[in-house]
Amino acid sequence: MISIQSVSHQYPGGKQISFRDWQINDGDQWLLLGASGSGKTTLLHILTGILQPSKGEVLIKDTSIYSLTGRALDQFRGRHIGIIFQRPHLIKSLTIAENLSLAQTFAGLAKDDKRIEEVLTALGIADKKHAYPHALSQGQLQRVSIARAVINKPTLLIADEPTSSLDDHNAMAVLKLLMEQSGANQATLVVATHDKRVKDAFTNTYELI
Amino acid sequence: MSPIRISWKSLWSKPLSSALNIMLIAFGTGILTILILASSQIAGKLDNNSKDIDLVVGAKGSPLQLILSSIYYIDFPTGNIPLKEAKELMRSPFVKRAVPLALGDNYNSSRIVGTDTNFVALYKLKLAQGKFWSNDFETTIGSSVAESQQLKVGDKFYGAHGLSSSSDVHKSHQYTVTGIIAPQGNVADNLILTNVASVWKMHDEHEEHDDAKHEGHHHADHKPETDDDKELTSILIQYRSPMSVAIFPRMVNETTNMQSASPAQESTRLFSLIGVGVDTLQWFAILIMLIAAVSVFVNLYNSLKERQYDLAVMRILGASRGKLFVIVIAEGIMLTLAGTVVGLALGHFALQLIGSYQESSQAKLTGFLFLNEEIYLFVAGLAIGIFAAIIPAIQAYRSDISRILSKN
Repeated sequence: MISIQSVSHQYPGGKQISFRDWQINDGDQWLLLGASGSGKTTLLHILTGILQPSKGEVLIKDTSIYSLTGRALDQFRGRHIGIIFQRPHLIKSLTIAENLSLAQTFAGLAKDDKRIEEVLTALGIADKKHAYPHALSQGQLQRVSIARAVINKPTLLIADEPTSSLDDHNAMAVLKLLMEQSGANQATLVVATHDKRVKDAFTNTYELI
Repeated sequence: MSPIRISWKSLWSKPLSSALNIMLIAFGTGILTILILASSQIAGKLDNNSKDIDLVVGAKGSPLQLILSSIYYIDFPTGNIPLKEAKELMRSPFVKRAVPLALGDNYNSSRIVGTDTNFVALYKLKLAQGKFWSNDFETTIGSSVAESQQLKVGDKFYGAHGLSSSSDVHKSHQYTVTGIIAPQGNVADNLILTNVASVWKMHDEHEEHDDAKHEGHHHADHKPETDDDKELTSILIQYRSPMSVAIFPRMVNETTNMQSASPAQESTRLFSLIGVGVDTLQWFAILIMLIAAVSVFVNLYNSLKERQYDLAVMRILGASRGKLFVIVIAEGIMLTLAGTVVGLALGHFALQLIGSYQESSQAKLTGFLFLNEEIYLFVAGLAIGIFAAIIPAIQAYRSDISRILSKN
């Protein structure tokens, strides 16, 4: 279970933003909806443990993540939270398989080739295992970034604007993959977007005003 | 995926700028390596050749020239000294051992030295084959001469007039090789030793044939009918006691027509002349190393800007701040260490190459010498790597990933 309780954040300029309490049950699929500038990215960063809120608490799997410090929080994030960005952001100097094993070792887990193979096969890009990112198409790279996010079977899978730069067809395909993968890995899914096209696919919506 | 491996692959992903940095470091380290190796070898050779010789007495002229010609056999002699006066000095109570030298001839650029058994004792020469010379026109040759001229015991050859040219050959007498000296690691390896009388006799006959050609040449002899007319090139002297230092050189310079020169003093003077050049090169090399350090810094600093998103993603994947620090600093250290290793190898290789092209085998340099000082170069390489990478590494450590990610 994931919850945020009485969280508010103070921006460097002095502007303050408060977020409604939010409770997400295991396996739920949520849409985080909000126009740009509504604090969507801020909430996502607070949820992923890279931005400490000035007030309030974030609980993931009964752990108050901001009571963890430094390394412990980094490892917790690597182990339990998978993140997909709008753009793939793979490490260019490493092969696809190395990018995935990077996610394993940074999270403090052992390198697991079988798991890498399994995830890549599920996403239909197993043949690109030893290729470098520059040799892949944008769509393939997006799949790799999904693979990297689910490689450690995270509790929480967060996608930040995964569809906004894609056409209708590809947007739906990526959304389908995200839902499939979060289900297959028993992860809770939160998709943050201002893209109204994906609205109908979700029953749970947390809207920022 | 260890941080070290990530750094390694990151360097390989931009081979050109990595290669440039490695080359700069290697160039600086290479020059310093050559300087360290060459100056230690030259100093070692100078010391080795003059270590038991306290004083050289010869004709008046440049003392440095006297030392160069009589100890290192690389310059022309200052002239000749009368045998009669030389003998008086050799019998002096201040002198423990005196070695007469009669120079003037060569065989294919190897100098023929007329001397006596004191030379053998002074340089502690040991034979590899055969025996030392005993009769006129018998020679004992150094190991390098035997090798380069392909001479064996029993071989015969003609000497030529002068110190290097072989145009004016003394056809009247033939030298015979009676022995080969074991390698000494000093100047004796490059000499052909015979007795003084052979050198005299060689020119005795020679002068009757063509007197005219000798104008302007210095010779260890002239019309040697009696002791009075005979001449030597110089004498190497070992003192009987340290007291002699104060009295003997002054005595030679003031009471005779000859001059004395101290190898230790002249070598120091020579080295201080070369030293200016060595110092300049050294600063030049250090400057190159500094430029290399700045270049590594700029390279890392710029790539850090490009890679800040990569590094932020690594943090998202669970890498700690410390890991990012290690990744960036490891890149700097790898670049400079690779440069240092390449530079050391290059320095040794270049010196070996220089040595193989050197004509005079007496000062031949070798790249197959490894000194403890080279460890300092290694440490310097490491220090430059850390120095160049520390600021980018600290920046990577302190980067605010939330801000970097929300900029997009």
